[in-house]
Amino acid sequence: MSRTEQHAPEPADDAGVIERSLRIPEQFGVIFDRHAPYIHRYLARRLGTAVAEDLTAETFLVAFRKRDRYDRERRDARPWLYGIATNLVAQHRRDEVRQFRLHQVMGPAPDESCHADRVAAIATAQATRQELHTALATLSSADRDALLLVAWEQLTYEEVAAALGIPVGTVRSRLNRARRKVREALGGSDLTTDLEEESS
Amino acid sequence: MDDMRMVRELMPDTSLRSLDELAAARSTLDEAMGGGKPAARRRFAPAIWTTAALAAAIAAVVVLAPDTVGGPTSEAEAAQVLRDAAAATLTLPDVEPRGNQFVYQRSGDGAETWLSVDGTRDGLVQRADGTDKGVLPGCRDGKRAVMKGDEVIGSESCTPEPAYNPDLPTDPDAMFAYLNPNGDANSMGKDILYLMNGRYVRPQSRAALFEAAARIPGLRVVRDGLDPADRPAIQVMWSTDGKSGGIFFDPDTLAYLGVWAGKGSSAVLRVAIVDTVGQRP
Repeated sequence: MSRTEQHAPEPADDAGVIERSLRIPEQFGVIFDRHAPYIHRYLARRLGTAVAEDLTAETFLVAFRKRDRYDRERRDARPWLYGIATNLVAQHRRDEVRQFRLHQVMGPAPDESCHADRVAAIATAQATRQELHTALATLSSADRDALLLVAWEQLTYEEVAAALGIPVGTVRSRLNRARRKVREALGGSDLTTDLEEESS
Repeated sequence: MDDMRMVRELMPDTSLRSLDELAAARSTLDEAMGGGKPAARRRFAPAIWTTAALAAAIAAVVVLAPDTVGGPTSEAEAAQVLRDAAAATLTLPDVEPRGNQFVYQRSGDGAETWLSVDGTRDGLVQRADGTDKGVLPGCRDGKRAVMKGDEVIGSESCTPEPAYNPDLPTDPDAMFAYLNPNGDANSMGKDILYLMNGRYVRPQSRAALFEAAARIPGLRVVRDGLDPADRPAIQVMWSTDGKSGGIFFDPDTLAYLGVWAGKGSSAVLRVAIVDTVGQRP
């Protein structure tokens, strides 16, 4: 049965769509159509495009199966979907850290990838990026989730709290900690330049 | 400096897909919605999931193919050089390093590195003249020393970075999937340069690596060239997203000679497995 055969007006918000989908499962496709491109982009940013599509499919499968537990007070399903996607990222955490580490070791362009060159000189901008990659790779996963949901996906603190199922105060403290580490990385450029040489 | 802005600038440049482009993911959901039971779960068994990712990666590479700087003939020729080099690699002696050993490499510019096989021991990098010596702290119990010069100034959490990965795929398809976590050939090129410079890759995996590299779009071959140590070389090059990389081979034996990475190019003169830091083969 396709959605067009329902002859029902499309409910205005996600909570209504999800409620309807309990009776008419196909309604859940509306949730996919509204949010899948953003969830896909989030997963691609965190884990790369190769796995993003499969994990997008999995995010919506998990969401579909858990839809009876959806809190219908939340009109917008986006934080909930980001939360499910973030849980899937956790299962691929090694891939993500590996990506950061590769950035850190290899630098942004292959022509600066040789350790001998790095020993000789590193452009400041590149060093800064590498320091940030190091900082991101060494954050706890909980802190990194909060930081990237805010910085990359522009979720509000309240939305991050909903996504991760934690109080807003906890979001705030995770972000403060993550940002402090990022600032430390930016401040101590000598320190992490040495690390670059060491990781070659 | 605005730390949040800096973090945003690290965000990979990833475009928003259209629903048409996400049709495969949608049809997985359609299947579940229509069936009323989680019929699609089996699709996500790890092995099959990897195959699906690989298929997506190959499709992406095919689409990227218009980068044909060397022309289609050169591309086929370059791929053939890599496949021949893969075959030649299989005749190399196969050594399995122990975790407590080190991968020694001497490069054309005189630099020497000792990298910990399992990533937990302290390694060393030094220039030919003994200057610029630098300890490469190993990662033990999730912690690694942070050095400033010769001085330990703190510690950071870490994951060991082994110089030899025993789990590296030995099959070209599996290697291609391993090298393409992002699905783009540029990250693959960087991974190859990473693995082939300073690390140790056993012959079976090295052959798989060259076979996988043969699938990079826009390959080209430079014959009668020289490697960074001025040895005669065949150079297989790739160029994706405006970034280039390449591998040098001996023109007669197709033995691996080094990597091309712009000014970071490196000729590998000697690779060996040794028992202690500072030990030379």
